Amino acid sequence: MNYFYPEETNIEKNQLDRKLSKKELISKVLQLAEVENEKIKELVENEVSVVELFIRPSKLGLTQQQSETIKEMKFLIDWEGEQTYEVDRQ
Amino acid sequence: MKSIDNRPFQYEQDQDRFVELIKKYTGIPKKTLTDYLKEHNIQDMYEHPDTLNVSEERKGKLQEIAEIRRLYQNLRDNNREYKLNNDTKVRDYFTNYYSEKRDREYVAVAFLNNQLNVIKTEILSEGTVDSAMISPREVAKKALIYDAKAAVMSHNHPGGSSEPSIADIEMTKKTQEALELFDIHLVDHIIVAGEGKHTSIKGLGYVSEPVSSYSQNLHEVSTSFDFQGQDDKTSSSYENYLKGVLKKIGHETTISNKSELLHAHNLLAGSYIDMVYDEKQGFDKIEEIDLERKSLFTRHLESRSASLFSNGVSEVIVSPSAKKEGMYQLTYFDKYGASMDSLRSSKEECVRELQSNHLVPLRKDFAEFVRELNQNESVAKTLNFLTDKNGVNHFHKLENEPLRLVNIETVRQKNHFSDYNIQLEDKSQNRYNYTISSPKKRHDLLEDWSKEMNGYEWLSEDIKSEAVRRKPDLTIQNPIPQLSAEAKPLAEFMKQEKTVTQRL
Repeated sequence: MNYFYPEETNIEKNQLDRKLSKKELISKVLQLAEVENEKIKELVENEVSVVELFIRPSKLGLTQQQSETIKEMKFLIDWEGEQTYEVDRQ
Repeated sequence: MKSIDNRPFQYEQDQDRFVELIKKYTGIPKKTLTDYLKEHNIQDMYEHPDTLNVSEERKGKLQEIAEIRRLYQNLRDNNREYKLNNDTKVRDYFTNYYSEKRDREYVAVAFLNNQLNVIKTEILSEGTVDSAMISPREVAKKALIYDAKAAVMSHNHPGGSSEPSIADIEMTKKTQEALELFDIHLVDHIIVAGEGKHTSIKGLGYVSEPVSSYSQNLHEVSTSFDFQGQDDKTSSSYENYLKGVLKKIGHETTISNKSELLHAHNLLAGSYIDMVYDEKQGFDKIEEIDLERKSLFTRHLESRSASLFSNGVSEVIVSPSAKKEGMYQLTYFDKYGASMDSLRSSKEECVRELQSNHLVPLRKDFAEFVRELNQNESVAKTLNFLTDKNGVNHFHKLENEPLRLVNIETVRQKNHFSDYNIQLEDKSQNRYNYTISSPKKRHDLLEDWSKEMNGYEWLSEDIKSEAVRRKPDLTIQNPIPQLSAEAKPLAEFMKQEKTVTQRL
């Protein structure tokens, strides 16, 4: 039943876009948390996952302050006002 | 401000935190933000920061956050990023999912494809602060809609404890059973109680591992069919799978050789044909499974049909049932050749069944198929066959009913065929006049028309019907003939014709 996923035709491009977006997102968040450039480079090269970054930043060898900033950032970018509480139905 | 259902407390707390953090990272005063959010939404703030009337420096910092937010949302919206192929990923995914949903209990299910990538995660229920209801039926229904091959259930416990209740465990088992019927694997049921607190119901031993992937193994065996027995790649995992399913439906069996493996395979694939493996001839003997054995598997066969649909039905055959007179048999085949039969009392029911199973998108030629199904009726209507004096056509109800020839007279003779006015009578003694064109010789006609035939068979006797079948646009409007006083019962008619012939 492929008709649910017409965008699959461009799957390679999507994958590439996602990879670039992910790297960019991780770099920006780490920069904002004032993580050292060397450390940022290391984490990006190791392809740390976005989920890992936002959920358990302290496990990535970041300071408590940096981890706290990342969690705050997660809240800031996730919160969408009233929409946050709407049930996700199609 | 619009009302937020009955959740103002959570909302206000979150908004305070949001405003506080924006102030921290951009320096925009709390009052400016609070006033702004009374008139605008978050989207406006990020997309049109000029409307906030703040300094360029503060606006620049806000745009930095907006950029991160945009990147994050792009990734989040494309759930296929997430591959839930191990326990850690499942746990992280849902911990993240519920991180901002702390106001009440939600039940969310991630539907996965066969690579265990998330197709869609959907909240199927929301409850009060400590309860949420979910029905296994709803999970199964959604899984079929998303064409999922696996699913992960989850719910949060805003109260803090991640311990599952007895109801949680019962619900997991019921959902697993419901999904299993459709060959959809329940990967786990995760309870999230907050960062670092979560429980896997599978981890507690309440969710069993799948025996093996049915479709994959079905394909393996189908491949071995192609090799006509020369290939000996019998899958032991498939054997275990078959044994497991047979046991589950209460049928202990032994699978000690390839022939028995194929036998079990055919039963569970929904096939009513038993392939017999012969050492010399390969898989070329077939015999029907007797009804008693078949009934053992009825329950499982029904569930198989759903799996056939999820594999995609590659062919459907509708034919009059050989086993039950007057019934129609729908036989579905999937791409692996597994089949499923279904008996219906009319062609219309067959069409309804196909439509209700959403087979339309799977069959490109569906419209043509429906036309084929109704073709005989269209032909009968075009030719006014079994149309009464009031112009009502009765072919549909008499297609399979016996009709006997009551009276007949010759209208005209041509080189290769003759036209006859005939009168047919049904079981209720209703009579229908018709002009039939036949190339049949007299002695054949006597033999064939003296016995009862059903509506379809009588229609096929008329050579005009074949012309209309070939060219549906052909217009042949038979008037409904009024039989003259010359019309005779068939036996008398034949004698009379014979006399005429002799005279000639």
